[in-house]
Parts: sequence; C-alpha cells; structure tokens
Amino acid sequence: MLFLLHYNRSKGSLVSIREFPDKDIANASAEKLRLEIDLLGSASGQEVVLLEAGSRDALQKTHARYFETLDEMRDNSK
Amino acid sequence: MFSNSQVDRLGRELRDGQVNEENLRRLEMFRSEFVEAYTYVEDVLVRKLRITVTGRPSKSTVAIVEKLRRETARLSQIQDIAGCRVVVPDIASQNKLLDLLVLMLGGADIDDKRETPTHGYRAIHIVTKHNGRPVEIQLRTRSQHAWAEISEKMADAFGQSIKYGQGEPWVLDFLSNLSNVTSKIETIRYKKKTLLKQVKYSERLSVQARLNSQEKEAFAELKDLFSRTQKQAAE
Repeated sequence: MLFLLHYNRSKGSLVSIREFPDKDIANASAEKLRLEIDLLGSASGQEVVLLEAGSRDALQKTHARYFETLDEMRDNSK
Repeated sequence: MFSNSQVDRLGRELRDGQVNEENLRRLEMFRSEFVEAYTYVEDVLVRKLRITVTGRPSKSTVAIVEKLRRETARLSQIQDIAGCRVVVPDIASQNKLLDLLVLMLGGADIDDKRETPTHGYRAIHIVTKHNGRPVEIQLRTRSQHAWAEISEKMADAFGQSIKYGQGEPWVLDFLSNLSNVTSKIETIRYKKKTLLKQVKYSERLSVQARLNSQEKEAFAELKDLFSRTQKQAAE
C-alpha cells in the first residue's frame, strides 16, 4: 500500500494521508506533485512524502514521527 | 532522461530557493527515474527475503532542498533519492540481516554508523545500485530507530539543525546522552546473548551478574536523563 502524507513540521502534526494501491505509484506520484504545487507559497515547514508499507500500522511503526507526539513516542519507546 | 549537468543545474536552482512549479515538475521527473531500482530492491527484500519493509520511493522535496543547502553534494550525487527502512529487534538480528543483504544484493556500499554515530544517529546504511540508480536501505535496531524518530520529532520542534549538531544546547545534550545510553543498553544485551555462550561454565554466573548490574545502571541513567530533560524543557 502507498501512503501520501502531508505533514506540518512546525505544528508537528499530520495534515492529511491518502492511500493508493501498490501498483499505482505513477498516480500517487502525480498526486504528490499536485499537492506540492498547491502548497507553493504557503508557510514553510510543509512536508509531502510518499511512503510504501504493508499496512498503515506498519507505517506508523517505522515513521512514528508523522503520527505521534514527542511524549507518545517517548512512552512507546520505553 | 536527464544528463548529470541538467540534474545539477536543477539542484543549484532548488538550493538557491527557486522552488517553483516548473522545478517541482522537473524534480518529479528526475525522481521517477529511480522507481525501477526502488521496485527491484523492494522486491528482493519483501518477496525474496520476506522482510517487513517501509519504502520511500522518492525523497521529499523539502528533504532534498535541505540536503543541498547543508552539504556540498550535487543533486546527481545524492544516494538516498529512493530508499527503504528495515527495523529489526536487536544487534544480533541486525548483523545477521546485514550479512544476508550483502549476499543477496552484492557490491553494496555499507556505512556502519553504530560505533561512530553521526551526531548520535546509529544505524547501518546499505547503498545498492540497480541499472545505475542507487537505493539506500536503512537497517536499524528498534532502539536505534526509536532514537532516530525522537531526534526527527525534536528537529521539527527545535529546528532541523539539531540533527547536525547545532542549536539548543540542552536538546543536543539530551540527544547525545540518549544515543550513548541506549547504545550501552543494546550492547550489554548483545553481550548477554553472545558472550555467555563463549565463556566457561564456571565463569558464566559471574559474567551474567556483571552484565545484569551494568544493564541496571544503564537503565537508571536513562531514567535520570528523561527526568532531568523534562525539568530543562519546562524551564
């Protein structure tokens, strides 16, 4: 599964997430580009990234930063 | 397909702040040239080795621009446009998987950051090429990964420069100490797993007691670090 994430670094929070089938990388990349173009001129700290994982749960384990607060990450890492 | 000089010109423009629609489209076209290599590596990891992997078919624009500004590297030289991340339980599994990956991928460049971390960041990075395009595999233990995620999150809050040793001193101290103490715990556990099998039976109990005591001390250090940092963050 492909996941298109829009993350606001300044706020430390996920703005949006969209899912695409594995084979749809061309479409997912096109959507990523469209989102990046839409965000041109907006406040800095916007991160748009395309990731691939077996499930959203697996993605949250390897990229917790996009989904959790610092306190949640600290507690989960103990 | 772009020539290296076209790619580097694009890199210079992005570095100089020309992040506009035309350059975003060109960058996306350049990144798409890595998809075949990424798919090949992902296939080896997931289908052949049955490893749980999270992939990043292409590095984000903001991360590319930051890298171009931070380093002297040109866009055509960036090795991690496409990449994958694998998180394993411990050092023993990390060593085992590294051997397997080297065997399966052949000719890969290995950057082992465990003994000489980059500003606290510990992991093994393996860069393999397919049809001339590099793909970076980040191989981390759970503990190394937890540190890296906390570091990234703190960089969001206190500035990306903290990942490169600059910025708020208490944040840098915390990350450096956290990296050291978590590495110490991991190493003690690795020794418990491996060393105990190698020592004589008569020495086993004393070695185990020594390692248990070291592990307990390291955990106390970790607890103290979190409690000190919470106070500093509140000030």
